Amino acid sequence: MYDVIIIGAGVAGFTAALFASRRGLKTLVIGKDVAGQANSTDTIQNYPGLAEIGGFELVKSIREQAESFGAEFIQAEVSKVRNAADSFVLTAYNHQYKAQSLILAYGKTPRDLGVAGEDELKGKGVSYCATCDAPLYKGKTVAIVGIGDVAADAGLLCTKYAHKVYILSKTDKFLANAWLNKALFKKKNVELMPFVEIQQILGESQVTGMQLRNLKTGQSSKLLVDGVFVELGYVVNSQIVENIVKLDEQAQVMINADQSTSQPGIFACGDATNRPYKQAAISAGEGAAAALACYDWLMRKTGQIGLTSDWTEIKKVK
Amino acid sequence: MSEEIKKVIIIGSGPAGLTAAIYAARADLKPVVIAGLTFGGQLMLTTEVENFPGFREGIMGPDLMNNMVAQAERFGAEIIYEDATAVDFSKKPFKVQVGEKQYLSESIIIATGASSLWLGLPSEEKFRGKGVSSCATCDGFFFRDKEIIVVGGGDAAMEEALYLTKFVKKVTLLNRSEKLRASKIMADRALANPKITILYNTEVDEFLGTDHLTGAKLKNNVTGEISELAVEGAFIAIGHKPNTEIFHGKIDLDAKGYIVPTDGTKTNVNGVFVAGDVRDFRYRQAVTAAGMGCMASLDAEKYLHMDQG
Repeated sequence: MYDVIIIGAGVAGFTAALFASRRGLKTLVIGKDVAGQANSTDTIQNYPGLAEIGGFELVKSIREQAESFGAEFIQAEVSKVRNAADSFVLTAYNHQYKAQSLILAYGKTPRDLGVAGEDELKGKGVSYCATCDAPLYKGKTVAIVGIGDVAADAGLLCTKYAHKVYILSKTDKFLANAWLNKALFKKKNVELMPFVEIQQILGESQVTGMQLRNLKTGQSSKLLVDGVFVELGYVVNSQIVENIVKLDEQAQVMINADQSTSQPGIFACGDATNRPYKQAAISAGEGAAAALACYDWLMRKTGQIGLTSDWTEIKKVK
Repeated sequence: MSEEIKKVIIIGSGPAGLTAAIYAARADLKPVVIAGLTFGGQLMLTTEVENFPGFREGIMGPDLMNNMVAQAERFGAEIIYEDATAVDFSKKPFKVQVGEKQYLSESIIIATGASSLWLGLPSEEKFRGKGVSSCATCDGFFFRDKEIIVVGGGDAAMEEALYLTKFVKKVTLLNRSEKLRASKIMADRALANPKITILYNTEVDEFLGTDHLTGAKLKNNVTGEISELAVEGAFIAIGHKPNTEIFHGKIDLDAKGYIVPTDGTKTNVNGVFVAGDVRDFRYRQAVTAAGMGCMASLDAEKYLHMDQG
């Protein structure tokens, strides 16, 4: 029996593990893939204290930090969570794990574009992870689908390798933050293709191009590309807990200010929650808070001392 | 005086303020950070920080803060190493007074943090970070199997003492009066713990040692008797105070002077945001402050977009 099992092996999950294990809790992290969303970022420049670090490297570092204080890690996919009377029982690859409390930190998974050819050509030129795959397109032509920060990050990375990078937008707008926007469109090998809709991704065994339709003129055209990076953000996959904790309409876990959920004993942090912003720094902060809230809950449940502050009653005054 | 209106002014330069600065600068908001004469916040008073995620070997507190300053400056934040002396949030643009100089801004992020209360002994200052600490969560690990003292008689002192019993060999808790001020349940637990010994009517007269703390000279304030106790660690747990002197009457504070957030990092003044220990009396961790600083910057950015249509 673990004191706490953390589902998810990204920044939030391992930071929670770091703080839980430092508080002396018997801690297990179960995650499908190490690093989660941070994996999709080549270099993170806005994580406080680290001028520049790869997403994977950051998570690896936090993982080792958590392990040095006794946290355990198992790479597996949790397929079932059961709320038993005195514990939570998790199933992952036919093994069962029991814990007194849970921290949900499973983040998000990439959103599909949803056009013909996408499924068939996944891994054959259609990618959702520029960090992983951009180096494969040295001297080639790629298209970025998406207009936000992640798309800009992916685009910037691709410009280092590809001969030409097209950015496809349904409008003429690009919505990444100002700094990224500037950096991206300064590159000579970047071209914004405005007002286009993607109809199909073309290719037999490998992507060869895209079928596009101009939304202003209605004209169809073919764009020859070797790779397509789908950078449309992420969706939350909360099936395993959908009957246990309250989710919002996007299946994000609804949390209170202290990272607790609708189910006592279950806490959540990072990108899987309904907090509006998704950043490594926020995930780390929430991971720490979730672990401390969890510690407090576990202690109080057994009549021990939780976290205390200098006083208990807080009165609001003007 | 030039009356240029800034987009965002960040008051404070601990993890919350500087993370806000990194994000605001990357969003091209050209933030001005009123960092204070002593910048960097409480981490400047610590030695090795083991629990900031991403530093598996640990990092010295001051190094971490210097990293954050460099990072914020690299993206274009302007850092002013002076104290904010007054604010006016009654109308926009907001005003921040820094000595003789007045700054105007469309939005404000308050991240002035909190300060541990210290005993105020010269020897205490000498051994800060060298055995004398105010944060058991941060530093408890360094005192495995050692003997230490905890100074204080409130709930926080009991919590620190009990937490530290997980690591240390023995805790001597010094209480200034003849009765603990902690809640009964907390006091009972401390009294029941075999690793904790409580000395009543006892104060620290002086901390002893050469490079590192090796003991404390104790004074019984009833009998006047002086004694010496060999300890390698001393935790001062007599409370914290939020650094909100200049905000009294300008923004909603709670009874202890902490800023009251309304929703996320928002406050009762539209356009003024808050992050870090100045609002958080519960977790008080560098990384939770950093996370909130990031959120405050994103909230300010959103506010500026909305405000300008």
